[in-house]
Amino acid sequence: METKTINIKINGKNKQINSCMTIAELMTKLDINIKLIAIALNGVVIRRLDLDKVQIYPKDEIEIVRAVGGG
Amino acid sequence: METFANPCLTLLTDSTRYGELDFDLIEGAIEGGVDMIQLREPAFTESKVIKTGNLIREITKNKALFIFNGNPKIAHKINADGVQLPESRIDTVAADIPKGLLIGRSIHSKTTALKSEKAGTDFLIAGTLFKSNSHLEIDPSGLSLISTLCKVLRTPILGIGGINADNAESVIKAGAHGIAVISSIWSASNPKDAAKTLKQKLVVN
Repeated sequence: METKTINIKINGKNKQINSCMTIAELMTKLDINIKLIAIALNGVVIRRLDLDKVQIYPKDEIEIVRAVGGG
Repeated sequence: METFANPCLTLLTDSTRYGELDFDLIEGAIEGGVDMIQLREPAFTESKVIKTGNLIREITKNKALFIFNGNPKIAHKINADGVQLPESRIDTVAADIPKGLLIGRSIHSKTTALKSEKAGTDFLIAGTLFKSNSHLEIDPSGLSLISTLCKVLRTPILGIGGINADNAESVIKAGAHGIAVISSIWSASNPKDAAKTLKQKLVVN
Protein backbone atom coordinates (compact mmCIF):
# COMPACT_ATOMS: atom_id res chain seq x y z
CA MET A 1 0.00 0.00 0.00
CA GLU A 2 1.31 3.43 -0.92
CA THR A 3 2.11 5.68 2.04
CA LYS A 4 0.29 8.99 1.98
CA THR A 5 2.55 12.01 2.29
CA ILE A 6 1.95 15.64 3.21
CA ASN A 7 3.89 18.83 2.58
CA ILE A 8 5.04 20.90 5.53
CA LYS A 9 7.74 23.43 6.29
CA ILE A 10 10.56 22.80 8.75
CA ASN A 11 12.57 25.89 9.67
CA GLY A 12 11.33 27.59 6.52
CA LYS A 13 12.20 24.74 4.15
CA ASN A 14 9.67 22.62 2.30
CA LYS A 15 9.59 19.03 3.40
CA GLN A 16 7.50 16.02 2.50
CA ILE A 17 6.67 13.67 5.36
CA ASN A 18 4.41 10.71 5.95
CA SER A 19 0.93 11.70 7.06
CA CYS A 20 -0.43 10.92 10.52
CA MET A 21 2.85 11.65 12.29
CA THR A 22 3.14 13.32 15.66
CA ILE A 23 5.79 15.93 16.40
CA ALA A 24 7.69 13.42 18.55
CA GLU A 25 7.62 10.83 15.74
CA LEU A 26 8.92 13.40 13.28
CA MET A 27 11.78 14.33 15.61
CA THR A 28 12.71 10.65 15.99
CA LYS A 29 12.68 10.28 12.21
CA LEU A 30 14.92 13.35 11.89
CA ASP A 31 17.17 11.93 14.61
CA ILE A 32 16.67 15.02 16.78
CA ASN A 33 16.90 14.70 20.56
CA ILE A 34 13.78 16.40 21.92
CA LYS A 35 15.37 17.15 25.28
CA LEU A 36 17.65 19.72 23.60
CA ILE A 37 15.16 21.71 21.55
CA ALA A 38 12.09 23.92 21.64
CA ILE A 39 9.53 23.23 18.91
CA ALA A 40 7.03 25.73 17.62
CA LEU A 41 4.09 24.62 15.48
CA ASN A 42 2.71 27.47 13.40
CA GLY A 43 4.37 29.93 15.78
CA VAL A 44 3.17 28.35 19.02
CA VAL A 45 5.65 26.54 21.25
CA ILE A 46 4.47 22.99 21.92
CA ARG A 47 4.36 21.83 25.52
CA ARG A 48 6.79 18.99 26.15
CA LEU A 49 3.97 16.73 27.34
CA ASP A 50 2.14 17.27 24.07
CA LEU A 51 4.95 16.40 21.67
CA ASP A 52 3.75 12.84 21.26
CA LYS A 53 0.11 13.88 21.02
CA VAL A 54 0.15 16.71 18.50
CA GLN A 55 -0.46 15.49 14.94
CA ILE A 56 1.14 17.25 12.00
CA TYR A 57 -1.22 18.46 9.27
CA PRO A 58 -0.52 19.50 5.68
CA LYS A 59 1.03 22.99 5.37
CA ASP A 60 2.05 23.06 9.03
CA GLU A 61 5.10 25.17 9.73
CA ILE A 62 7.42 23.66 12.29
CA GLU A 63 10.29 25.54 13.83
CA ILE A 64 12.97 23.56 15.61
CA VAL A 65 14.97 25.77 17.94
CA ARG A 66 18.28 24.61 19.35
CA ALA A 67 18.74 26.40 22.69
CA VAL A 68 22.33 27.43 22.17
CA GLY A 69 23.91 30.79 21.43
CA GLY A 70 24.86 31.91 17.96
CA GLY A 71 21.72 32.92 16.08
CA MET B 1 2.96 33.76 40.34
CA GLU B 2 5.22 31.64 42.47
CA THR B 3 6.46 33.16 45.68
CA PHE B 4 10.07 33.89 46.42
CA ALA B 5 11.38 30.85 48.28
CA ASN B 6 13.47 31.14 51.41
CA PRO B 7 16.00 29.61 51.14
CA CYS B 8 16.15 30.02 47.39
CA LEU B 9 18.20 27.81 45.08
CA THR B 10 18.62 29.43 41.66
CA LEU B 11 19.92 27.83 38.47
CA LEU B 12 21.18 30.06 35.68
CA THR B 13 21.52 28.85 32.11
CA ASP B 14 24.77 29.23 30.18
CA SER B 15 24.61 27.48 26.82
CA THR B 16 27.78 29.23 25.67
CA ARG B 17 29.75 27.30 28.26
CA TYR B 18 27.70 24.13 28.72
CA GLY B 19 26.23 23.61 25.24
CA GLU B 20 22.64 23.29 24.15
CA LEU B 21 20.19 23.74 27.01
CA ASP B 22 19.04 20.38 28.21
CA PHE B 23 15.39 20.81 29.15
CA ASP B 24 15.34 17.41 30.86
CA LEU B 25 18.16 18.65 33.07
CA ILE B 26 16.16 21.77 33.95
CA GLU B 27 13.12 19.64 34.84
CA GLY B 28 15.28 17.33 36.94
CA ALA B 29 16.95 20.23 38.73
CA ILE B 30 13.53 21.61 39.70
CA GLU B 31 12.50 18.18 40.98
CA GLY B 32 15.73 18.16 42.97
CA GLY B 33 14.88 21.45 44.65
CA VAL B 34 15.71 24.40 42.38
CA ASP B 35 13.32 27.27 43.17
CA MET B 36 14.24 29.69 40.41
CA ILE B 37 15.38 29.25 36.82
CA GLN B 38 17.11 32.18 35.20
CA LEU B 39 17.36 32.21 31.43
CA ARG B 40 20.62 34.06 30.87
CA GLU B 41 21.60 33.80 27.24
CA PRO B 42 22.97 37.07 25.91
CA ALA B 43 23.92 35.41 22.60
CA PHE B 44 20.32 34.32 21.83
CA THR B 45 18.32 36.18 19.23
CA GLU B 46 14.99 37.56 20.45
CA SER B 47 13.16 34.85 18.51
CA LYS B 48 15.22 32.15 20.23
CA VAL B 49 14.64 33.72 23.63
CA ILE B 50 10.91 33.70 23.00
CA LYS B 51 10.75 30.05 21.90
CA THR B 52 13.11 28.86 24.62
CA GLY B 53 11.47 31.10 27.21
CA ASN B 54 8.01 29.78 26.38
CA LEU B 55 9.25 26.25 26.93
CA ILE B 56 10.94 27.09 30.24
CA ARG B 57 7.78 28.90 31.31
CA GLU B 58 5.87 25.68 30.73
CA ILE B 59 8.47 23.60 32.59
CA THR B 60 8.56 25.94 35.59
CA LYS B 61 4.82 26.60 35.84
CA ASN B 62 3.59 26.11 39.42
CA LYS B 63 6.98 24.61 40.32
CA ALA B 64 9.64 27.32 40.21
CA LEU B 65 10.07 31.01 39.50
CA PHE B 66 11.11 31.84 35.98
CA ILE B 67 13.29 34.92 35.62
CA PHE B 68 14.56 36.30 32.33
CA ASN B 69 17.99 37.87 32.57
CA GLY B 70 17.79 40.69 30.05
CA ASN B 71 15.27 43.10 28.59
CA PRO B 72 12.20 43.61 30.86
CA LYS B 73 9.88 43.91 27.83
CA ILE B 74 10.94 40.46 26.63
CA ALA B 75 10.55 39.09 30.17
CA HIS B 76 6.96 40.35 30.06
CA LYS B 77 6.44 38.92 26.57
CA ILE B 78 7.48 35.40 27.60
CA ASN B 79 5.33 35.59 30.72
CA ALA B 80 8.32 35.31 33.06
CA ASP B 81 7.81 35.91 36.76
CA GLY B 82 10.56 38.49 36.74
CA VAL B 83 13.56 40.12 35.18
CA GLN B 84 17.19 40.18 36.22
CA LEU B 85 19.06 43.39 35.46
CA PRO B 86 22.83 43.79 35.30
CA GLU B 87 24.69 46.32 37.43
CA SER B 88 25.06 48.52 34.33
CA ARG B 89 21.26 48.99 34.28
CA ILE B 90 21.18 50.55 37.72
CA ASP B 91 19.40 53.56 36.22
CA THR B 92 16.43 51.41 35.21
CA VAL B 93 13.97 52.14 37.98
CA ALA B 94 11.02 49.97 38.96
CA ALA B 95 8.61 52.37 37.21
CA ASP B 96 10.32 51.56 33.87
CA ILE B 97 9.58 47.85 34.24
CA PRO B 98 6.29 46.21 33.26
CA LYS B 99 4.06 45.81 36.30
CA GLY B 100 3.87 42.40 37.92
CA LEU B 101 7.45 41.41 37.18
CA LEU B 102 9.75 40.67 40.08
CA ILE B 103 12.93 42.72 39.79
CA GLY B 104 16.26 41.11 40.47
CA ARG B 105 19.52 42.99 40.16
CA SER B 106 23.07 41.73 39.91
CA ILE B 107 25.51 43.67 42.07
CA HIS B 108 29.15 43.48 43.01
CA SER B 109 29.52 46.14 45.71
CA LYS B 110 27.81 47.81 48.63
CA THR B 111 27.51 51.06 46.65
CA THR B 112 25.54 49.50 43.80
CA ALA B 113 23.51 47.38 46.23
CA LEU B 114 22.31 50.54 47.99
CA LYS B 115 21.57 52.21 44.64
CA SER B 116 19.65 49.12 43.54
CA GLU B 117 17.47 49.19 46.62
CA LYS B 118 16.70 52.84 45.95
CA ALA B 119 15.86 52.12 42.28
CA GLY B 120 13.50 49.32 43.38
CA THR B 121 14.35 45.66 43.61
CA ASP B 122 12.81 42.46 44.95
CA PHE B 123 16.07 40.55 45.28
CA LEU B 124 19.76 40.96 44.64
CA ILE B 125 22.30 38.53 43.28
CA ALA B 126 25.66 39.38 44.78
CA GLY B 127 29.08 38.13 43.80
CA THR B 128 31.51 36.94 42.70
CA LEU B 129 31.90 35.23 46.09
CA PHE B 130 34.37 32.47 45.25
CA LYS B 131 36.63 31.70 42.30
CA SER B 132 34.24 31.01 39.46
CA ASN B 133 34.58 29.22 36.12
CA SER B 134 32.33 31.89 34.61
CA HIS B 135 34.55 34.76 35.78
CA LEU B 136 38.10 33.46 36.11
CA GLU B 137 39.45 36.99 35.65
CA ILE B 138 37.65 38.32 38.72
CA ASP B 139 39.13 38.32 42.20
CA PRO B 140 36.40 36.89 44.40
CA SER B 141 34.91 39.09 47.10
CA GLY B 142 34.52 36.28 49.61
CA LEU B 143 31.67 36.01 52.09
CA SER B 144 32.36 39.48 53.48
CA LEU B 145 30.32 40.94 50.60
CA ILE B 146 27.23 39.07 51.86
CA SER B 147 27.74 39.93 55.52
CA THR B 148 28.37 43.60 54.67
CA LEU B 149 25.24 43.82 52.54
CA CYS B 150 23.08 42.11 55.13
CA LYS B 151 23.91 44.84 57.62
CA VAL B 152 22.65 47.64 55.37
CA LEU B 153 19.93 46.08 53.19
CA ARG B 154 16.47 44.68 53.72
CA THR B 155 16.28 43.10 50.25
CA PRO B 156 16.82 39.32 50.01
CA ILE B 157 20.29 38.51 48.72
CA LEU B 158 21.39 35.47 46.74
CA GLY B 159 25.10 34.72 46.59
CA ILE B 160 26.71 33.80 43.27
CA GLY B 161 30.12 32.75 42.00
CA GLY B 162 31.91 29.48 42.57
CA ILE B 163 29.27 28.13 44.94
CA ASN B 164 29.18 24.37 45.39
CA ALA B 165 28.04 21.79 47.93
CA ASP B 166 31.14 22.45 50.06
CA ASN B 167 30.65 26.19 50.53
CA ALA B 168 26.87 26.68 50.04
CA GLU B 169 26.12 26.49 53.75
CA SER B 170 28.66 29.23 54.52
CA VAL B 171 26.83 31.60 52.16
CA ILE B 172 23.60 31.14 54.11
CA LYS B 173 25.41 31.47 57.42
CA ALA B 174 26.81 34.80 56.17
CA GLY B 175 23.21 36.01 55.85
CA ALA B 176 22.14 35.23 52.26
CA HIS B 177 18.59 34.07 51.44
CA GLY B 178 19.97 31.65 48.92
CA ILE B 179 22.45 30.91 46.19
CA ALA B 180 22.63 31.07 42.41
CA VAL B 181 24.67 28.43 40.59
CA ILE B 182 25.62 27.39 37.09
CA SER B 183 28.38 24.79 36.95
CA SER B 184 27.48 23.00 40.20
CA ILE B 185 24.36 21.71 38.46
CA TRP B 186 25.09 21.93 34.72
CA SER B 187 28.34 20.00 35.02
CA ALA B 188 27.15 17.53 37.65
CA SER B 189 27.05 13.86 36.70
CA ASN B 190 23.57 13.75 38.24
CA PRO B 191 22.09 17.28 38.13
CA LYS B 192 18.94 16.32 40.05
CA ASP B 193 20.97 14.91 42.93
CA ALA B 194 23.31 17.91 42.79
CA ALA B 195 20.31 20.23 43.19
CA LYS B 196 19.01 18.11 46.05
CA THR B 197 22.35 18.22 47.87
CA LEU B 198 22.70 21.99 47.38
CA LYS B 199 19.16 22.55 48.65
CA GLN B 200 19.88 20.51 51.76
CA LYS B 201 22.95 22.66 52.43
CA LEU B 202 20.79 25.79 52.35
CA VAL B 203 18.58 24.63 55.19
CA VAL B 204 20.78 25.70 58.06
CA ASN B 205 19.56 25.19 61.56
